[in-house]
Amino acid sequence: MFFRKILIICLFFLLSTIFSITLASDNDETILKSKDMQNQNVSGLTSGSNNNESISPEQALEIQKQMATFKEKQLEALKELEDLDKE
Amino acid sequence: MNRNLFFLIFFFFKNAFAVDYVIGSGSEFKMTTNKGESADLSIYITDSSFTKLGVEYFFSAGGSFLKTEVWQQFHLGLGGSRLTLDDGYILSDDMKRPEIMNKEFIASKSDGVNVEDFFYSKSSDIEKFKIGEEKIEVPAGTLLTTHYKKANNGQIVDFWVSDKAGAIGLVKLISSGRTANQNYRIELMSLLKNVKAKINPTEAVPLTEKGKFFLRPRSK
Repeated sequence: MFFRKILIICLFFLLSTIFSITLASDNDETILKSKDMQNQNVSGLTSGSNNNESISPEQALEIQKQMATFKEKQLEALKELEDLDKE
Repeated sequence: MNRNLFFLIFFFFKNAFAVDYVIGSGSEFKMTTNKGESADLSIYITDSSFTKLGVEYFFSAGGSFLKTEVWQQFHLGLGGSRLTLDDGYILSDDMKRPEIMNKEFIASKSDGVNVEDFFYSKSSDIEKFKIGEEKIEVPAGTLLTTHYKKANNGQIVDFWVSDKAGAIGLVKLISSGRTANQNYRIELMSLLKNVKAKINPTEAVPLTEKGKFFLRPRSK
């Protein structure tokens, strides 16, 4: 349970970081920070899990894979933003 | 504090019949109390039709290792001349299934401002509480808002709303009052989209003691 809580917290903050893209406004038009949750629960991880069970090694591996994928997507998004800036 | 969350549903009054409520859209807020406690609060649309609006809250509080996560989902009736609160559900990270909030908790009222105080059927109902247009800065950004002030039984709620702030519309809220749980502030951290609802009402069971614990009034 303890381990699972830490993983949830870590993933939540990771998701928060990945999906938070601050867009600077260069004119009077208001642009607010926005997060796309991509059809996930807003807490990031707890959907469908049995809250009284510890996380299994397989689940931990899956989470690690997801985190790696999210990091890749973040880098891709940042690169796209850089490309847009150059254009 | 959960009781305070309950009345936050009022944000939907703002343009209850004019805004296109996209399922999964919402807002993420940071809530802080005068005692230095803070909590993350997200509110998002779970159901939207001509006669019904579903909204879910995600509330996360506590330190990193003693975190409490609570979801509440409410269904509002839009069919009549006035907004109605039809049913509600609660789920915590320690509950296996969502629980049905019975009428006792849905209809319960706090000493100060209550959810019904913010249910308006037309824009003129709220205009009398308008203070003015103000440009304010919150973590989500800087924007022009409309400032309103509403008071009841010693609780004063100042709130700033904007059409730019998505389906929920709230940008900032400051509540002050005689009791400890009436003193807090809320600021918009980010808009949300494509949020998946946590609570499935078809899986809900009657309210247990654990559910009542989360819903009972906190010490003042």
